[in-house]
Amino acid sequence: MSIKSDFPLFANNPDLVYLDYANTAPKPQVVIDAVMEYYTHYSGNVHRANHDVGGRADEAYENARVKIGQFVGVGRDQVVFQKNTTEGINLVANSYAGKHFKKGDRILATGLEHHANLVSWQLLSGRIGTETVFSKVDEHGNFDEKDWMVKVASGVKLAAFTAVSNVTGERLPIERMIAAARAHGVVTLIDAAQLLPHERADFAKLGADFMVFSGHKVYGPTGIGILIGKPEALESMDPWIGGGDMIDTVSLLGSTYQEPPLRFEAGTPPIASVIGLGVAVEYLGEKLDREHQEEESTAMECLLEGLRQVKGLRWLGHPSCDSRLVSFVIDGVHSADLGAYLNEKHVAVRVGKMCAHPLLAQSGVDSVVRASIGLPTDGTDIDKFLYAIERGVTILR
Amino acid sequence: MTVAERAVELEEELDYLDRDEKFEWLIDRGKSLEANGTYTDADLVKGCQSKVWLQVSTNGDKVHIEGTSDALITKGIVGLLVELFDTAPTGEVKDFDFIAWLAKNEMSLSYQRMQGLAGMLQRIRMTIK
Ligand SMILES: Cc1ncc(COP(=O)(O)O)c(C=O)c1O
Repeated sequence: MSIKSDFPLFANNPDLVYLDYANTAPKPQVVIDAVMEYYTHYSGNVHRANHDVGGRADEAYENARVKIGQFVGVGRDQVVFQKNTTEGINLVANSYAGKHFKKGDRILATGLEHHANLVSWQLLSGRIGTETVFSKVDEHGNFDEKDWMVKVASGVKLAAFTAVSNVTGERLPIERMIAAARAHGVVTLIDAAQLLPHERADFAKLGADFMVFSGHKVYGPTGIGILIGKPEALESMDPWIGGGDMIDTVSLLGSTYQEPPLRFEAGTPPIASVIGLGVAVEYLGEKLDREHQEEESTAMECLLEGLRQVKGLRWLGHPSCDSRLVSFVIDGVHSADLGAYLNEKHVAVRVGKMCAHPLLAQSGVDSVVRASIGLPTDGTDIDKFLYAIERGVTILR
Repeated sequence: MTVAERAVELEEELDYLDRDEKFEWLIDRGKSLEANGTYTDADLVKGCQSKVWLQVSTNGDKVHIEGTSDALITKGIVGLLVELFDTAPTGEVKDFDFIAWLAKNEMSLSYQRMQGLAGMLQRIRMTIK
């Protein structure tokens, strides 16, 4: 049985060629069932019910936390539920950097960041006067490791970096980066939004201080994202929602300073999404083996080989069979037109600036088409995509 | 010709086309739209994935509209707006529901594109109000 049959999206859209996994992934039936079961069988609130329905919800919810922790090699106390990657980064910026850093302290990012890992730091700068510095990107849009290594040794306080670029698909050498950062006493945050859908990461082994990812990109529900932190780092943070000056109001809500992770989870959480994510990481975890990775690599290689045949096509960075996405422009064809044509042919890709305006500006392009693959992607998808590209270019040039 | 009559003329062409052909028809209108004017950033319409420049003015009761885009579909849409509305009386332009007309003729436009279109129509409405 093909993996596709696990995903009702494809049964309900038989013509769909979905190549927008990097944006959000389809959900397998097991995840949908888990969400549904919560709502149909035990839809109580967590942490505050004295009845059995609530008790069941509590158990499933905290059980999911354990599974999510196991997925990245940490204990449950290190798993903080947030809304998405973006919110996780903002929490660190506000509650960690905002508390421990002062005016003039520098934060290092790469030139490849998604806006989530860029605007959060700019907002912090506006608030407390920190400064954000960026490592260079070469003219193809590749990470400049040498430059980053120099900068990480220049007295920066925190290095926040994406593990995989959502524009070029480049996987950064995060192991070396973390080692260098640690050697210089620099706190690290990994944006693993594009890494974890395709690669296992053991947080404890990596040795970073923080890691964030989004549930919806790892085949889980929307509305749930995860911040993983070292215990002592989380312990040192104040709550963000209702934190600081508003501490009185917070205690009126009955929320004295809880221990992490609950300290950062004010209000009723997205219970069903958490439970769904627990199932999603189990599902994905079983498939992050060599066999499935080779299948994804083969699909990627076919995709790139096909694109190489398109005249006037230029991609950003140096995608290879190890990448899981590729962004490109085609001479004489506007990306918006190509995206619209692909949509006509039921091919779903991402078109635009990919929430990475600086990187696109640096690469000298205004908007790109991005195709990204996932577990269910098969040869038929790639063939249909390439055929549509070829036809589209003929019509649109 | 009234706006309604112009619309009927276009419909006669569209009636014979299937979905794929309609897409190409719009692209061809984009390719053949003559954009002689000089446009500035003030003419840019917000909310489009591509860049759209639109100049709308009135001369007495008559609407003048011209524009262009860096992408062909949006350029095709600008072409349709020009064809339907240029030199037409403001009252007729105001009364014509362009989005409903596109839908009636089964011209599928993705959601994002519709957003850009909303900006173009807004620009027209603001000028002739
Ligand atoms: C590298 C990277 N970081 C962060 C994000 C933001 O994720 P979310 O919108 O789920 O917060 C994305 C989403 O595209 C991403 O690709």
